[in-house]
Amino acid sequence: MSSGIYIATAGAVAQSNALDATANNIANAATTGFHGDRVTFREALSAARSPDVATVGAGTTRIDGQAGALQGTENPLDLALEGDGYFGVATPGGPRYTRAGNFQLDDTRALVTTDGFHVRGEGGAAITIPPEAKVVAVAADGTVSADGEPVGKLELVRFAPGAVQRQGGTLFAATGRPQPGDPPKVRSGMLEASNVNVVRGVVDLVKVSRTYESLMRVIQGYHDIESRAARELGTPK
Amino acid sequence: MFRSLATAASGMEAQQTKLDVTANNIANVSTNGFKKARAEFADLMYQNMRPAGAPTGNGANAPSGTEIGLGTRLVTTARELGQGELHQTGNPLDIAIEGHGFLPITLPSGETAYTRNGALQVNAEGRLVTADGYSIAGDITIPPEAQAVSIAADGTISATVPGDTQPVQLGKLQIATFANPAGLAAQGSTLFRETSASGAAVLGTPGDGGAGAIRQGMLEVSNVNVVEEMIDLISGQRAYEINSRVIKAADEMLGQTAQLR
Repeated sequence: MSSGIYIATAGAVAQSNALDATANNIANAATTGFHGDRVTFREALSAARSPDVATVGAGTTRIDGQAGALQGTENPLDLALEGDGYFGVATPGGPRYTRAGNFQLDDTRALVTTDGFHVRGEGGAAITIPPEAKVVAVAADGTVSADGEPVGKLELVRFAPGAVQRQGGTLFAATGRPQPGDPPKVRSGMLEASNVNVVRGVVDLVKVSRTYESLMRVIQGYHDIESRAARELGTPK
Repeated sequence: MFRSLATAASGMEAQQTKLDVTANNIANVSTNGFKKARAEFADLMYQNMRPAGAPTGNGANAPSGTEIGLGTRLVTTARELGQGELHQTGNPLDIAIEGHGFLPITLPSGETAYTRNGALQVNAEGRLVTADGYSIAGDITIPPEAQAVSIAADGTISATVPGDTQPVQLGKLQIATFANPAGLAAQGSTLFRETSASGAAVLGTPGDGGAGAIRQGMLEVSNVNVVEEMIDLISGQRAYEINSRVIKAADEMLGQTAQLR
Protein backbone atom coordinates (compact mmCIF):
# COMPACT_ATOMS: atom_id res chain seq x y z
CA MET A 1 0.00 0.00 0.00
CA SER A 2 1.30 3.47 -0.69
CA SER A 3 1.53 5.81 2.24
CA GLY A 4 -0.13 8.68 0.33
CA ILE A 5 -3.60 7.49 1.19
CA TYR A 6 -2.82 7.95 4.90
CA ILE A 7 -1.41 11.40 4.30
CA ALA A 8 -4.62 12.37 2.50
CA THR A 9 -6.68 10.88 5.34
CA ALA A 10 -4.71 12.90 7.90
CA GLY A 11 -5.40 15.97 5.76
CA ALA A 12 -9.13 15.18 5.66
CA VAL A 13 -9.23 14.76 9.46
CA ALA A 14 -7.41 18.09 9.85
CA GLN A 15 -9.87 19.79 7.49
CA SER A 16 -12.85 18.35 9.37
CA ASN A 17 -11.42 19.87 12.57
CA ALA A 18 -11.07 23.16 10.72
CA LEU A 19 -14.72 22.89 9.67
CA ASP A 20 -15.73 22.31 13.30
CA ALA A 21 -13.76 25.36 14.44
CA THR A 22 -15.28 27.49 11.65
CA ALA A 23 -18.77 26.24 12.58
CA ASN A 24 -18.17 27.27 16.19
CA ASN A 25 -16.97 30.71 15.11
CA ILE A 26 -20.05 31.27 12.95
CA ALA A 27 -22.42 29.92 15.62
CA ASN A 28 -20.95 32.50 18.02
CA ALA A 29 -21.18 35.44 15.64
CA ALA A 30 -23.72 37.02 18.04
CA THR A 31 -21.98 36.12 21.33
CA THR A 32 -20.86 39.21 23.25
CA GLY A 33 -17.14 39.23 24.02
CA PHE A 34 -16.49 36.09 21.98
CA HIS A 35 -13.12 35.73 20.31
CA GLY A 36 -13.00 33.25 17.43
CA ASP A 37 -10.52 30.47 16.84
CA ARG A 38 -8.00 30.32 14.02
CA VAL A 39 -6.88 26.87 12.98
CA THR A 40 -3.29 26.41 11.93
CA PHE A 41 -1.80 23.22 10.61
CA ARG A 42 1.71 22.06 10.83
CA GLU A 43 3.66 19.28 9.29
CA ALA A 44 3.88 16.20 11.44
CA LEU A 45 6.34 13.34 11.10
CA SER A 46 8.62 15.42 8.93
CA ALA A 47 11.53 13.84 10.76
CA ALA A 48 10.16 10.34 10.27
CA ARG A 49 12.10 7.51 8.72
CA SER A 50 11.68 8.57 5.15
CA PRO A 51 12.13 12.23 4.18
CA ASP A 52 9.38 12.09 1.56
CA VAL A 53 6.76 10.89 4.04
CA ALA A 54 5.32 13.88 5.78
CA THR A 55 1.82 14.28 7.00
CA VAL A 56 -0.28 16.94 8.66
CA GLY A 57 -1.17 17.24 12.32
CA ALA A 58 -4.77 17.49 13.46
CA GLY A 59 -4.52 21.29 13.53
CA THR A 60 -3.92 23.74 16.36
CA THR A 61 -6.48 26.32 17.35
CA ARG A 62 -5.33 29.74 18.35
CA ILE A 63 -7.58 32.38 19.86
CA ASP A 64 -7.97 35.33 17.54
CA GLY A 65 -6.91 38.18 19.81
CA GLN A 66 -8.32 40.96 17.66
CA ALA A 67 -10.92 43.01 19.52
CA GLY A 68 -14.52 42.90 18.35
CA ALA A 69 -16.42 46.04 17.38
CA LEU A 70 -17.74 48.15 20.27
CA GLN A 71 -21.49 48.64 20.29
CA GLY A 72 -23.14 51.36 22.33
CA THR A 73 -25.99 50.20 24.61
CA GLU A 74 -26.40 53.19 27.01
CA ASN A 75 -26.59 50.74 29.94
CA PRO A 76 -23.88 51.79 32.45
CA LEU A 77 -23.34 48.16 33.51
CA ASP A 78 -22.52 47.07 29.95
CA LEU A 79 -18.74 47.23 29.89
CA ALA A 80 -16.29 46.72 27.05
CA LEU A 81 -12.54 46.36 27.31
CA GLU A 82 -10.31 48.41 25.09
CA GLY A 83 -6.95 46.72 24.76
CA ASP A 84 -5.66 43.31 25.63
CA GLY A 85 -6.95 41.77 28.88
CA TYR A 86 -9.88 40.33 30.78
CA PHE A 87 -12.37 40.98 33.58
CA GLY A 88 -11.98 38.67 36.59
CA VAL A 89 -14.99 36.46 37.45
CA ALA A 90 -15.41 34.36 40.61
CA THR A 91 -16.83 30.90 39.82
CA PRO A 92 -17.23 27.89 42.13
CA GLY A 93 -14.23 26.42 40.26
CA GLY A 94 -11.99 29.40 41.05
CA PRO A 95 -11.24 32.63 39.25
CA ARG A 96 -12.07 32.78 35.55
CA TYR A 97 -11.62 35.54 33.03
CA THR A 98 -13.92 37.01 30.40
CA ARG A 99 -14.20 39.83 27.90
CA ALA A 100 -18.00 39.72 27.88
CA GLY A 101 -18.92 42.73 30.01
CA ASN A 102 -22.73 42.38 29.83
CA PHE A 103 -22.97 42.54 33.61
CA GLN A 104 -26.10 42.77 35.73
CA LEU A 105 -26.97 43.10 39.41
CA ASP A 106 -28.26 40.17 41.42
CA ASP A 107 -30.73 40.23 44.34
CA THR A 108 -27.96 41.37 46.70
CA ARG A 109 -27.05 44.15 44.21
CA ALA A 110 -23.67 42.56 43.52
CA LEU A 111 -22.27 42.83 40.00
CA VAL A 112 -22.67 39.46 38.22
CA THR A 113 -22.16 38.00 34.76
CA THR A 114 -25.13 36.77 32.69
CA ASP A 115 -24.50 33.30 34.17
CA GLY A 116 -24.79 34.76 37.70
CA PHE A 117 -21.10 34.56 38.70
CA HIS A 118 -19.78 37.46 40.77
CA VAL A 119 -17.50 39.88 38.97
CA ARG A 120 -14.21 40.11 40.86
CA GLY A 121 -13.07 43.40 42.27
CA GLU A 122 -9.42 43.97 43.04
CA GLY A 123 -8.36 41.34 45.56
CA GLY A 124 -11.24 39.07 44.54
CA ALA A 125 -14.08 40.74 46.48
CA ALA A 126 -17.50 41.14 44.86
CA ILE A 127 -18.62 44.66 43.90
CA THR A 128 -21.91 45.70 45.48
CA ILE A 129 -23.93 48.77 44.54
CA PRO A 130 -25.80 50.37 47.47
CA PRO A 131 -29.61 50.28 47.02
CA GLU A 132 -30.06 54.04 47.27
CA ALA A 133 -27.63 54.70 44.40
CA LYS A 134 -29.18 56.55 41.51
CA VAL A 135 -26.26 56.87 39.13
CA VAL A 136 -23.78 54.04 38.65
CA ALA A 137 -20.67 54.84 36.67
CA VAL A 138 -17.60 52.86 35.72
CA ALA A 139 -14.42 54.77 34.97
CA ALA A 140 -11.84 53.81 32.36
CA ASP A 141 -9.54 52.36 35.05
CA GLY A 142 -12.35 50.07 36.30
CA THR A 143 -13.40 52.10 39.34
CA VAL A 144 -17.10 51.53 39.98
CA SER A 145 -18.82 54.44 41.65
CA ALA A 146 -22.37 54.94 42.90
CA ASP A 147 -23.53 58.58 42.99
CA GLY A 148 -19.88 59.62 42.69
CA GLU A 149 -18.67 57.53 45.64
CA PRO A 150 -16.26 54.70 44.69
CA VAL A 151 -17.65 51.30 45.73
CA GLY A 152 -14.98 49.06 44.20
CA LYS A 153 -12.54 48.57 41.39
CA LEU A 154 -12.84 45.85 38.76
CA GLU A 155 -10.06 43.30 38.53
CA LEU A 156 -8.48 43.73 35.10
CA VAL A 157 -5.75 41.33 34.08
CA ARG A 158 -3.63 40.52 31.08
CA PHE A 159 -2.31 37.12 30.10
CA ALA A 160 0.12 35.88 27.51
CA PRO A 161 -1.83 34.60 24.44
CA GLY A 162 -1.21 30.93 25.21
CA ALA A 163 -1.81 31.20 28.96
CA VAL A 164 -5.61 30.99 28.84
CA GLN A 165 -7.81 28.01 28.22
CA ARG A 166 -11.38 28.17 27.01
CA GLN A 167 -14.09 27.10 29.44
CA GLY A 168 -17.29 27.88 27.52
CA GLY A 169 -19.68 30.61 28.60
CA THR A 170 -17.11 33.11 27.21
CA LEU A 171 -14.96 32.30 30.25
CA PHE A 172 -11.28 31.46 30.21
CA ALA A 173 -9.19 29.71 32.85
CA ALA A 174 -5.65 30.92 33.35
CA THR A 175 -2.84 28.44 32.88
CA GLY A 176 -0.15 31.00 33.61
CA ARG A 177 0.43 34.06 35.75
CA PRO A 178 -1.03 37.46 34.86
CA GLN A 179 1.34 39.60 32.85
CA PRO A 180 2.51 42.98 34.04
CA GLY A 181 1.77 45.99 31.90
CA ASP A 182 -1.03 48.46 31.39
CA PRO A 183 -4.43 46.90 32.09
CA PRO A 184 -7.10 47.36 29.41
CA LYS A 185 -9.35 50.43 29.56
CA VAL A 186 -13.00 49.98 30.52
CA ARG A 187 -15.66 51.62 28.36
CA SER A 188 -19.00 51.89 30.13
CA GLY A 189 -22.26 51.74 28.15
CA MET A 190 -20.67 49.64 25.45
CA LEU A 191 -20.32 45.97 24.63
CA GLU A 192 -17.64 44.23 22.64
CA ALA A 193 -19.37 42.29 19.88
CA SER A 194 -18.07 38.91 18.75
CA ASN A 195 -14.89 39.37 16.73
CA VAL A 196 -15.99 36.72 14.25
CA ASN A 197 -15.98 38.07 10.73
CA VAL A 198 -18.73 36.19 8.94
CA VAL A 199 -17.24 36.99 5.52
CA ARG A 200 -14.05 35.31 6.62
CA GLY A 201 -16.12 32.48 8.06
CA VAL A 202 -17.82 31.87 4.72
CA VAL A 203 -14.49 32.03 2.87
CA ASP A 204 -13.01 29.55 5.37
CA LEU A 205 -16.03 27.35 4.82
CA VAL A 206 -15.51 27.32 1.05
CA LYS A 207 -11.78 26.73 1.45
CA VAL A 208 -12.27 23.86 3.88
CA SER A 209 -14.93 22.13 1.83
CA ARG A 210 -12.92 22.45 -1.41
CA THR A 211 -9.73 21.18 0.22
CA TYR A 212 -11.66 18.32 1.71
CA GLU A 213 -13.12 17.53 -1.70
CA SER A 214 -9.64 17.47 -3.27
CA LEU A 215 -8.39 15.17 -0.53
CA MET A 216 -11.31 12.85 -1.17
CA ARG A 217 -10.26 12.80 -4.85
CA VAL A 218 -6.71 11.93 -3.80
CA ILE A 219 -8.00 9.06 -1.69
CA GLN A 220 -10.20 7.94 -4.58
CA GLY A 221 -7.16 8.18 -6.89
CA TYR A 222 -5.06 5.91 -4.68
CA HIS A 223 -7.99 3.57 -4.41
CA ASP A 224 -8.30 3.45 -8.22
CA ILE A 225 -4.56 2.84 -8.67
CA GLU A 226 -4.57 0.04 -6.19
CA SER A 227 -7.68 -1.64 -7.48
CA ARG A 228 -6.24 -1.41 -11.00
CA ALA A 229 -2.95 -2.87 -9.83
CA ALA A 230 -4.80 -5.70 -8.14
CA ARG A 231 -6.88 -6.31 -11.26
CA GLU A 232 -4.14 -6.10 -13.86
CA LEU A 233 -1.21 -7.54 -11.99
CA GLY A 234 -3.13 -9.99 -9.89
CA THR A 235 -4.99 -11.67 -12.76
CA PRO A 236 -3.10 -14.69 -14.14
CA LYS A 237 -2.35 -14.29 -17.85
CA MET B 1 -19.87 12.62 12.04
CA PHE B 2 -18.81 16.22 12.02
CA ARG B 3 -19.37 18.23 15.19
CA SER B 4 -20.13 21.11 12.84
CA LEU B 5 -23.66 19.87 12.15
CA ALA B 6 -24.67 20.22 15.80
CA THR B 7 -22.58 23.37 16.24
CA ALA B 8 -24.28 25.11 13.31
CA ALA B 9 -27.67 23.89 14.54
CA SER B 10 -27.00 25.59 17.90
CA GLY B 11 -26.11 28.75 15.97
CA MET B 12 -29.33 28.61 13.97
CA GLU B 13 -31.36 28.04 17.11
CA ALA B 14 -29.67 31.03 18.77
CA GLN B 15 -30.39 33.30 15.80
CA GLN B 16 -33.99 32.10 15.74
CA THR B 17 -34.35 33.10 19.41
CA LYS B 18 -32.76 36.46 18.64
CA LEU B 19 -35.31 36.95 15.87
CA ASP B 20 -38.15 36.04 18.25
CA VAL B 21 -36.93 38.59 20.80
CA THR B 22 -36.51 41.26 18.10
CA ALA B 23 -39.97 40.50 16.73
CA ASN B 24 -41.51 40.99 20.19
CA ASN B 25 -39.61 44.25 20.64
CA ILE B 26 -40.81 45.58 17.28
CA ALA B 27 -44.38 44.39 17.93
CA ASN B 28 -44.35 46.45 21.14
CA VAL B 29 -42.86 49.59 19.66
CA SER B 30 -45.96 51.57 20.60
CA THR B 31 -46.80 49.80 23.88
CA ASN B 32 -46.63 52.34 26.68
CA GLY B 33 -44.28 51.37 29.49
CA PHE B 34 -42.80 48.47 27.47
CA LYS B 35 -39.16 47.57 28.15
CA LYS B 36 -37.24 45.93 25.35
CA ALA B 37 -35.40 42.64 25.79
CA ARG B 38 -32.05 41.65 24.38
CA ALA B 39 -30.97 38.05 23.76
CA GLU B 40 -27.51 37.33 25.11
CA PHE B 41 -25.46 34.33 24.05
CA ALA B 42 -22.39 32.51 25.34
CA ASP B 43 -20.24 29.80 23.80
CA LEU B 44 -20.76 26.16 24.78
CA MET B 45 -18.03 23.94 26.16
CA TYR B 46 -14.85 23.11 24.30
CA GLN B 47 -13.32 19.77 23.41
CA ASN B 48 -9.77 20.15 24.49
CA MET B 49 -7.85 17.87 22.15
CA ARG B 50 -4.41 19.04 23.16
CA PRO B 51 -3.78 21.55 25.94
CA ALA B 52 -1.62 24.58 25.35
CA GLY B 53 1.85 24.03 26.75
CA ALA B 54 1.84 20.30 25.97
CA PRO B 55 5.28 19.03 24.98
CA THR B 56 5.67 18.73 21.22
CA GLY B 57 8.95 16.81 21.40
CA ASN B 58 12.44 18.23 20.90
CA GLY B 59 12.02 19.89 24.30
CA ALA B 60 9.53 22.45 22.99
CA ASN B 61 6.02 23.14 24.21
CA ALA B 62 2.97 23.94 22.09
CA PRO B 63 2.30 27.69 22.37
CA SER B 64 -1.40 27.11 21.78
CA GLY B 65 -3.58 24.06 22.21
CA THR B 66 -6.31 22.49 20.13
CA GLU B 67 -9.71 23.44 21.45
CA ILE B 68 -12.77 22.81 19.33
CA GLY B 69 -15.88 24.61 20.48
CA LEU B 70 -19.30 23.03 20.27
CA GLY B 71 -21.51 26.01 19.51
CA THR B 72 -23.52 28.65 21.28
CA ARG B 73 -26.36 28.88 23.78
CA LEU B 74 -28.83 31.47 24.96
CA VAL B 75 -27.89 32.75 28.43
CA THR B 76 -30.53 35.35 29.03
CA THR B 77 -33.07 37.62 27.44
CA ALA B 78 -31.94 40.61 29.48
CA ARG B 79 -34.53 43.34 29.85
CA GLU B 80 -33.19 46.81 29.20
CA LEU B 81 -34.87 49.09 31.70
CA GLY B 82 -33.66 52.35 30.21
CA GLN B 83 -36.15 55.20 30.41
CA GLY B 84 -38.52 55.46 27.45
CA GLU B 85 -39.39 58.90 26.11
CA LEU B 86 -42.08 60.82 27.98
CA HIS B 87 -44.93 61.97 25.77
CA GLN B 88 -47.27 64.73 26.84
CA THR B 89 -50.92 63.71 26.64
CA GLY B 90 -52.62 66.34 28.80
CA ASN B 91 -54.88 63.66 30.29
CA PRO B 92 -54.82 64.18 34.09
CA LEU B 93 -54.92 60.44 34.77
CA ASP B 94 -51.92 59.67 32.55
CA ILE B 95 -48.80 59.43 34.67
CA ALA B 96 -45.20 58.59 33.85
CA ILE B 97 -42.39 57.59 36.20
CA GLU B 98 -39.28 59.64 35.67
CA GLY B 99 -36.47 57.54 37.10
CA HIS B 100 -36.40 54.08 38.62
CA GLY B 101 -39.30 52.10 39.98
CA PHE B 102 -42.68 50.64 39.17
CA LEU B 103 -46.31 51.28 40.11
CA PRO B 104 -47.66 48.46 42.31
CA ILE B 105 -50.90 46.93 41.00
CA THR B 106 -53.25 44.55 42.83
CA LEU B 107 -54.34 41.70 40.56
CA PRO B 108 -57.83 40.16 40.98
CA SER B 109 -56.09 37.13 42.58
CA GLY B 110 -54.81 39.43 45.33
CA GLU B 111 -51.21 39.18 44.13
CA THR B 112 -49.17 42.28 43.51
CA ALA B 113 -47.73 43.05 40.08
CA TYR B 114 -45.68 46.02 38.95
CA THR B 115 -45.92 48.20 35.86
CA ARG B 116 -44.51 51.37 34.32
CA ASN B 117 -47.54 51.87 32.10
CA GLY B 118 -49.30 54.80 33.74
CA ALA B 119 -52.34 55.17 31.46
CA LEU B 120 -54.76 55.11 34.40
CA GLN B 121 -58.53 55.23 34.32
CA VAL B 122 -61.41 55.30 36.76
CA ASN B 123 -63.72 52.26 36.82
CA ALA B 124 -67.44 52.06 37.57
CA GLU B 125 -66.81 52.09 41.33
CA GLY B 126 -64.66 55.19 41.01
CA ARG B 127 -61.49 53.25 41.72
CA LEU B 128 -58.22 54.16 40.01
CA VAL B 129 -57.33 51.25 37.66
CA THR B 130 -54.91 50.42 34.85
CA ALA B 131 -56.07 50.16 31.23
CA ASP B 132 -56.64 46.42 31.90
CA GLY B 133 -58.87 47.24 34.88
CA TYR B 134 -56.49 46.15 37.65
CA SER B 135 -56.62 48.42 40.68
CA ILE B 136 -53.67 50.49 41.76
CA ALA B 137 -52.36 49.23 45.10
CA GLY B 138 -53.75 51.31 47.95
CA ASP B 139 -57.30 51.37 46.51
CA ILE B 140 -57.52 55.01 45.56
CA THR B 141 -61.08 56.12 44.83
CA ILE B 142 -61.94 59.27 42.96
CA PRO B 143 -65.47 60.52 43.73
CA PRO B 144 -67.60 61.12 40.62
CA GLU B 145 -68.11 64.78 41.48
CA ALA B 146 -64.35 65.41 41.74
CA GLN B 147 -62.92 68.03 39.43
CA ALA B 148 -59.41 68.93 38.47
CA VAL B 149 -57.63 65.81 39.65
CA SER B 150 -54.00 66.57 40.24
CA ILE B 151 -51.19 64.12 40.88
CA ALA B 152 -48.08 65.66 42.41
CA ALA B 153 -44.49 64.55 41.74
CA ASP B 154 -44.50 62.82 45.15
CA GLY B 155 -47.61 60.80 44.20
CA THR B 156 -50.18 62.76 46.19
CA ILE B 157 -53.55 62.68 44.39
CA SER B 158 -55.88 65.55 45.13
CA ALA B 159 -59.03 66.94 43.56
CA THR B 160 -61.43 69.77 44.13
CA VAL B 161 -65.00 68.84 44.93
CA PRO B 162 -67.91 71.24 44.42
CA GLY B 163 -68.63 73.26 47.57
CA ASP B 164 -65.08 73.00 48.81
CA THR B 165 -62.53 75.65 47.92
CA GLN B 166 -59.54 73.66 49.11
CA PRO B 167 -58.48 70.55 47.13
CA VAL B 168 -59.00 67.34 49.09
CA GLN B 169 -56.33 64.67 49.25
CA LEU B 170 -57.68 61.41 47.82
CA GLY B 171 -54.69 59.15 48.27
CA LYS B 172 -51.03 58.72 47.59
CA LEU B 173 -49.28 56.68 44.93
CA GLN B 174 -46.23 54.69 45.92
CA ILE B 175 -43.33 53.52 43.80
CA ALA B 176 -41.78 50.07 44.20
CA THR B 177 -38.07 49.75 43.57
CA PHE B 178 -36.04 46.56 43.34
CA ALA B 179 -32.43 45.67 44.02
CA ASN B 180 -32.25 44.05 40.58
CA PRO B 181 -35.18 45.20 38.40
CA ALA B 182 -33.78 43.19 35.45
CA GLY B 183 -34.63 40.07 37.47
CA LEU B 184 -38.40 40.77 37.43
CA ALA B 185 -40.53 38.22 35.57
CA ALA B 186 -42.53 39.68 32.67
CA GLN B 187 -46.22 38.79 32.94
CA GLY B 188 -47.49 40.35 29.72
CA SER B 189 -49.69 43.49 29.64
CA THR B 190 -46.53 45.41 30.71
CA LEU B 191 -46.88 43.81 34.15
CA PHE B 192 -43.94 42.38 36.06
CA ARG B 193 -43.83 40.05 39.04
CA GLU B 194 -41.32 39.93 41.86
CA THR B 195 -38.85 36.99 41.79
CA SER B 196 -36.02 35.78 44.01
CA ALA B 197 -33.60 37.31 41.51
CA SER B 198 -35.21 40.76 41.62
CA GLY B 199 -35.22 40.94 45.42
CA ALA B 200 -38.20 42.15 47.46
CA ALA B 201 -40.06 45.30 46.43
CA VAL B 202 -39.17 48.39 48.44
CA LEU B 203 -42.11 50.79 48.57
CA GLY B 204 -41.22 54.42 48.70
CA THR B 205 -42.45 57.93 48.08
CA PRO B 206 -42.04 58.95 44.44
CA GLY B 207 -39.04 61.22 43.95
CA ASP B 208 -37.50 60.15 47.24
CA GLY B 209 -34.31 58.08 47.47
CA GLY B 210 -34.02 55.72 44.51
CA ALA B 211 -37.70 55.98 43.47
CA GLY B 212 -38.60 57.97 40.37
CA ALA B 213 -40.88 61.00 40.44
CA ILE B 214 -44.42 61.03 39.04
CA ARG B 215 -45.14 63.24 36.03
CA GLN B 216 -48.82 63.93 35.49
CA GLY B 217 -50.24 64.30 31.99
CA MET B 218 -47.45 62.28 30.45
CA LEU B 219 -46.94 58.69 29.35
CA GLU B 220 -43.72 56.76 29.05
CA VAL B 221 -43.61 55.20 25.61
CA SER B 222 -41.84 51.96 24.71
CA ASN B 223 -38.03 52.17 24.91
CA VAL B 224 -37.69 50.15 21.68
CA ASN B 225 -35.54 51.84 19.07
CA VAL B 226 -36.82 50.70 15.67
CA VAL B 227 -33.52 51.38 13.86
CA GLU B 228 -31.57 49.23 16.31
CA GLU B 229 -34.16 46.47 16.01
CA MET B 230 -33.98 46.55 12.21
CA ILE B 231 -30.22 46.16 12.37
CA ASP B 232 -30.63 43.22 14.77
CA LEU B 233 -33.18 41.74 12.38
CA ILE B 234 -30.83 41.98 9.40
CA SER B 235 -27.77 40.71 11.24
CA GLY B 236 -29.77 37.87 12.82
CA GLN B 237 -31.22 36.80 9.49
CA ARG B 238 -27.81 36.79 7.80
CA ALA B 239 -26.17 34.92 10.65
CA TYR B 240 -28.93 32.32 10.41
CA GLU B 241 -28.28 31.95 6.70
CA ILE B 242 -24.53 31.54 7.18
CA ASN B 243 -25.04 28.91 9.89
CA SER B 244 -27.23 27.01 7.44
CA ARG B 245 -24.38 27.19 4.91
CA VAL B 246 -22.14 25.47 7.45
CA ILE B 247 -24.65 22.62 7.63
CA LYS B 248 -24.70 22.44 3.83
CA ALA B 249 -20.87 22.37 3.66
CA ALA B 250 -20.69 19.63 6.30
CA ASP B 251 -23.37 17.69 4.45
CA GLU B 252 -21.48 17.97 1.13
CA MET B 253 -18.27 16.83 2.79
CA LEU B 254 -20.02 13.83 4.31
CA GLY B 255 -21.57 13.08 0.91
CA GLN B 256 -18.14 13.08 -0.74
CA THR B 257 -16.84 10.75 1.97
CA ALA B 258 -19.78 8.43 1.52
CA GLN B 259 -19.04 8.18 -2.21
CA LEU B 260 -15.53 6.80 -1.65
CA ARG B 261 -15.38 3.15 -2.49
